[in-house]
Amino acid sequence: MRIFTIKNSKVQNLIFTLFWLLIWELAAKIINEPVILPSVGQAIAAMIEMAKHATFYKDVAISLLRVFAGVGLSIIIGIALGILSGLYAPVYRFFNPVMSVIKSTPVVSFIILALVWMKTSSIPVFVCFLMCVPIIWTNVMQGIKDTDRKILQMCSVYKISHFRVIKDVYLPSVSGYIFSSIAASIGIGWKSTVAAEVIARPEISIGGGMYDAKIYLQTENLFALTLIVIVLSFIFEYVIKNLIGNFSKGRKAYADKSN
Amino acid sequence: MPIKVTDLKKSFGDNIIFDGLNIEFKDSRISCVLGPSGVGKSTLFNIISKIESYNAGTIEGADKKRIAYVFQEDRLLEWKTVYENIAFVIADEKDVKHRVDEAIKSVKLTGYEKYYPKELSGGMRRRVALARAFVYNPDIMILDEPFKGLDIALKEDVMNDFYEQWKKNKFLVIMATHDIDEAVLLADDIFILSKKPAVVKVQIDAKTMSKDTLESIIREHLEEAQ
Ligand SMILES: Nc1ncnc2c1ncn2[C@@H]1O[C@H](COP(=O)(O)OP(=O)(O)OP(=O)(O)O)[C@@H](O)[C@H]1O
Ligand SMILES: [Mg+2]
Repeated sequence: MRIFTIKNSKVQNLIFTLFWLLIWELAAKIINEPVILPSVGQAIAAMIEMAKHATFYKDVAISLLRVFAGVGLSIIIGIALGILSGLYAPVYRFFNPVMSVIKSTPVVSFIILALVWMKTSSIPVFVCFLMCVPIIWTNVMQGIKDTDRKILQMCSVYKISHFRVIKDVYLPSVSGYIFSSIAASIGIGWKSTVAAEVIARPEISIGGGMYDAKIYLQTENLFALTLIVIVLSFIFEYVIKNLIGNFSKGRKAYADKSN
Repeated sequence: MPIKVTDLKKSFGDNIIFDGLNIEFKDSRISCVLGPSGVGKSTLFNIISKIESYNAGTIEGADKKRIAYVFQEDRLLEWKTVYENIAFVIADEKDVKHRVDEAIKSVKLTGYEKYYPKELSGGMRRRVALARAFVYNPDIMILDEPFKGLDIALKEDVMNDFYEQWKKNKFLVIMATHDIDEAVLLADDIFILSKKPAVVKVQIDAKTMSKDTLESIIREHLEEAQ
């Protein structure tokens, strides 16, 4: 029964994906103007054409590195500030205005401001960091606040050191929050990095290629690059989900208990 | 040094738990606190161990002491093994491995060191919480229904082990229980609380009378305290 439903849902996924590709293809046929809407085939052909050039891999690799740097930085800073803000209300009040402002500022505002402030190749990293850090900060803080009070009381009676309480009680309690916020950040970080690249146009970047595609009306290249961004996003998500899966298996005892 | 609670006042909102409670737990003795459910035994223990606030009164004799507390709930770290849970409270001290092994032995959990709390029965979890208190070498041990959930044979075993260890190094023990047999077997002093607000209805020097007399006295007072 179960296997049947799994198979069924996989088949459905495939069919519906094909359906939407078909709609795209039909629309392209009707419009019949590759500059406005290339066909699926043209986009894939453009992708294959790009894949023949070494610069393409360099672009992708560097863009990826930027995402890793931006997200990595936001993970480190977000966790540290999140823990402190969760533990100490004044620290929370100190950072809250900044985080709230960052959260509600449109990403382009940061990109354009950053253009004034720094050199082009670091702008995407900075923007990615700004987009991700409030997400991680908020989640980690929530995790700290949701830590079981009764366990904390136990620690205070047994005079457990602050260091150990953070390492052995708070961190395990927030690890779920940390992972889900990282998963959310990577998607957002990736998109904001590419957006920043399009506007800042550092020499080596996926976003720079998108800008060129627009300038030279190579719409099929724009689609091809977008497809690549999407595929890489899927891969990220998949890897992160698996990491979380493996991690929670190690923490099975804990995860089961909370059900 | 005894623990001396004087004129303690405590309420949760409109719910007045203590309105001038006086009670003294003597050093080197096991004091058992009995009383109806909801009378405030756990609340008193939480106040003594400084995890609960109170409105007025004084608590003497608990400052700067090593307190081991077996809470009414187990309060184990679900992400740590049996061994790690017990070692947790003495992690920065000496001789950890040996002490933890001894504690595990005294609660009959040898062989379960690597289990997670989730994988244990209620009685086994209880014994982990007990071992965590035993391993701590406290000046004061607070036990809130410590043997709850253990079958009779096991309870006797664990209780005897506890008593043997306690005799070697008599520290102040305060224990809440609903089990008259436990009180008769272990207690030097027995306090029966009645509500509400809670007061000490009677204090009994348990070692001055026969077990049968003691049991019937406790039974009588408990019925009246309801
Ligand atoms: N955190 C709390 N907030 C509000 N009321 C509380 C809280 N803790 C305890 N109480 C109330 O205080 C009273 C005493 O509770 P307590 O747990 O101390 O009783 P107890 O004597 O330990 O009972 P039992 O034998 O059932 O464990 C109860 O009426 C309970 O509802
Ligand atoms: Mg209680």
